[in-house]
Amino acid sequence: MSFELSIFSTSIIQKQAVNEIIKCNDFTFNYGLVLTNQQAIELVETRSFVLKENGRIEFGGGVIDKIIKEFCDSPYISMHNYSEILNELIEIFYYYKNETLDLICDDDLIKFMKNSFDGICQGSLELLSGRELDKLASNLRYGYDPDFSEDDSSEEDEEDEYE
Amino acid sequence: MNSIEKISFIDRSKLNEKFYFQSLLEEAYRCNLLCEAEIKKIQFECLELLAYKVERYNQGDSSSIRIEDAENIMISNLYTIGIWLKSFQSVDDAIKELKGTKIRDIYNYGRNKIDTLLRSTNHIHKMVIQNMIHTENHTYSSTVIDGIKGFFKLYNPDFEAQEIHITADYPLCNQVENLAGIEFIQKYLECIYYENVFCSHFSTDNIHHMLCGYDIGYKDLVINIFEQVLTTAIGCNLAGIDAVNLNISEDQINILYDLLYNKSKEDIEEIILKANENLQEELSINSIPLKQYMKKSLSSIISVVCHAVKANTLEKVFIAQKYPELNPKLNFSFGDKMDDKLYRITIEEIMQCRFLSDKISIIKNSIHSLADLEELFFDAELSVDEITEVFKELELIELSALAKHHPFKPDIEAVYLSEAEQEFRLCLHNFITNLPFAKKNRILNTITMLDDNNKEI
Repeated sequence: MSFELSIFSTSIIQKQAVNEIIKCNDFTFNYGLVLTNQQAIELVETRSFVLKENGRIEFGGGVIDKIIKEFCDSPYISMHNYSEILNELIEIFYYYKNETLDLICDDDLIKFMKNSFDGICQGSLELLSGRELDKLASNLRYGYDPDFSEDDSSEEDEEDEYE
Repeated sequence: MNSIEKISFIDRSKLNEKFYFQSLLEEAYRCNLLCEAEIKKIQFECLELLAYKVERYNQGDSSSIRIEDAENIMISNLYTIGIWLKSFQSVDDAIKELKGTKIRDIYNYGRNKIDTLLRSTNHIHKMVIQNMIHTENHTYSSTVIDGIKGFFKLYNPDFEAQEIHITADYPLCNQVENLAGIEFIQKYLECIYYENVFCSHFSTDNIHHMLCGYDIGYKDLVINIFEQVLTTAIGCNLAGIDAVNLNISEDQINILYDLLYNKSKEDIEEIILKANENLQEELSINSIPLKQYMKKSLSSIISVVCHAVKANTLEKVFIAQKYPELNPKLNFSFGDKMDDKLYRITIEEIMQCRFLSDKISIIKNSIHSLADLEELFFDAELSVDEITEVFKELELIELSALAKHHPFKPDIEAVYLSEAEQEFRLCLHNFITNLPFAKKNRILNTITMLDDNNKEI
């Protein structure tokens, strides 16, 4: 008797997820961003692949629509890189869900990604993944504040020494 | 009129008690009691239930979950469903329930059943605590009191209903097998309750002395007390003496040899079964569950007795009491330490000496207590040969006191002891081992007679 969880990646559920992504076009159209049906399918496939890679499972619509709605007003995203960035953001998101040991909720992680992407990373996905999210994950794992920075604390220590 | 039992296609005894729901589905599918479409429907409903439980588990914070967590929740759900299905008298009724009721509803019934089981298990635990055996055995008391309390604290029926979280170290005479979660703990406690009820027919002192006869350090052993008590009580009954005294002398062991020698396994089984019945009569045991529990315990006792008869080791099975409180205890004082400054000077003096004879003469003249000598071994950087020469100057009681205080345990030493202390212990161990047999035995006897706290006296 098989109760394998992979049974969830059925075509019906995939189709439902594609429809949800396409629906987001109504919202992102105002920012000049639209996904084709093929691109939506790609995103869902990326999600399935990344979930499997990271040993996770998802029920319901997932977070793709949340990522789309959060990132659509970014000054670093335009039609020519929209789909490519979304695919990478999905990969990064699930990777760091594991790395943060699920200590941060979906909405907060997406918000952190958006703020860092638009702010300190200036649209660089490498910096977002390799530096900012890595720092966040290690802070959460060691029980520090998500914004804690070792550089800040060492500067403070130095100041204390001069006082 | 005799009650008529329905014939079922599925043999209830063949179903796995731990994974009841899964094994029921497999058997039902194999016997064509559930068709493929019905199985698929059940599977889909189970996945729907999982999605709902995962949402509750994540508390809306996350849409995804690690696969291993999801699998654990799934196992917990299936276990809970199984608990409800087990409550049906016949397997056919359970299958009818599966066909006619939604999985989500069956899960809820199972969840309520677990709550009921939790309440009843809590009650059994209270009863067990009330009739506990008063024993110094650590495993018994730590499992029965703290371990089970830990279970009630950690048990999470919503997401980990199949887990027990504790190790339940105290071994039962009849191990609980093929059960999980709350069912396991309930059965485990029931068994301990019956074992306690049986042991309550014997005085605490008799049990203590009998267990001392089994092993003087029984309080640190992981053993089943009931099994030892029952075995010895049966031995007493066979030897024709009062079982409540739980004491068998050498003569009575010889009687048992005469009784059991050259007998086949079947004969020994019959003799022990009869003795068990006599014992129940002698102790006025009328409780049917306790009688059944005792009978179930006999199989292991019978095989142990058969083996002991062949190996001529019956005295290890039917145990004579020992009274450690009657053994003489020696108290030995390590004495007062000398002034720190004087001690430093003495150590420096010893370290500067070139010849061993000079070192020994300083030790003899300046060191007047074993406490100082003990520290000197670690501080004076003596070689192995020098330490051995110093040992030769010591009295038997002094060597025994040092050996008692510095036992040779190579497995632990590397972690807890300094290099100098490890070397000292090895030297002492080798020195005692190489002594003539009679002297070595006297030292070993003295070590056992020395009080555990002798250093502080």
